[in-house]
Amino acid sequence: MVHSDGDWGTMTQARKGSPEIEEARLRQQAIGARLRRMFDDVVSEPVPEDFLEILRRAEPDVESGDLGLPTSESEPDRS
Amino acid sequence: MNMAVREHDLGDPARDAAFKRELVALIPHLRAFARTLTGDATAADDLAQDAMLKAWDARTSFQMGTNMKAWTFMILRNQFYSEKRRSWRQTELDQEAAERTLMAVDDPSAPVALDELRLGLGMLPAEQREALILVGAGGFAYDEAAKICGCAVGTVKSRVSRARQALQAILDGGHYNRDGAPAGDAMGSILAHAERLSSAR
Repeated sequence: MVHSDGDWGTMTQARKGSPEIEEARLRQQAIGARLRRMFDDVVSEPVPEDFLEILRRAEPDVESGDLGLPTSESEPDRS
Repeated sequence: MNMAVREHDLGDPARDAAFKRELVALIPHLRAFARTLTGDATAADDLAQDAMLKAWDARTSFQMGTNMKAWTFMILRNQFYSEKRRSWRQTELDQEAAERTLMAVDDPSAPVALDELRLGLGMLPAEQREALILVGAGGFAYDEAAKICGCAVGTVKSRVSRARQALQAILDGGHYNRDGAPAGDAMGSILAHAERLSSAR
């Protein structure tokens, strides 16, 4: 069994000229473009509010008093 | 009990704020990575939220100025596998996903190419899928993807290459494996075909 090192550039170069390889390359490009679009579509979605809310709650110096944490050392930062 | 101050509570607020800004900017990418890994929007957001929180909790161990995207992707990826070990079989194919794929590609009223791709991705062994997503869509170089996956660069290259060929065989195969064989068998032959293709070179 021939072991491929996964170097597509070299592989494609070596076999350039074969219409089958060229067709396979084009189909791969199409799949690659679809994969990127699939990923980018999610990237461009607005971030659901839960994410920011979770992060806000995780902050140690969060100002909201609904965490039920002992507040013995909380310092008032507004006067 | 008196003020169990966690170590990172002592951190620098300015640094925390900078960290948070960068982390928030990465949320869309974490969601996309999770979505393409799991193929399920709800599970993906749970995974992305867990990863985001883990990253936040580990923020003092992150060296500012280094690649936070790669770092958070690694956290998400590790989280994915630790959950997967608990609930699923590790690298076996997801039979249900495979059957859905075959039904979807057989159904002329469901020509949604992206959905077909999503289901096809779900049929790949997990380590091939993640390698393909990181390099093919996430914008990572092979060596960055190797660090994220904790493996050698050559291994990533080979996984990406196999994933590409297997995915192509799966997507192509969906159109000619309509001989009435049960979906599982059809999938077996598609995968055997994919396997032949990816080991032939």
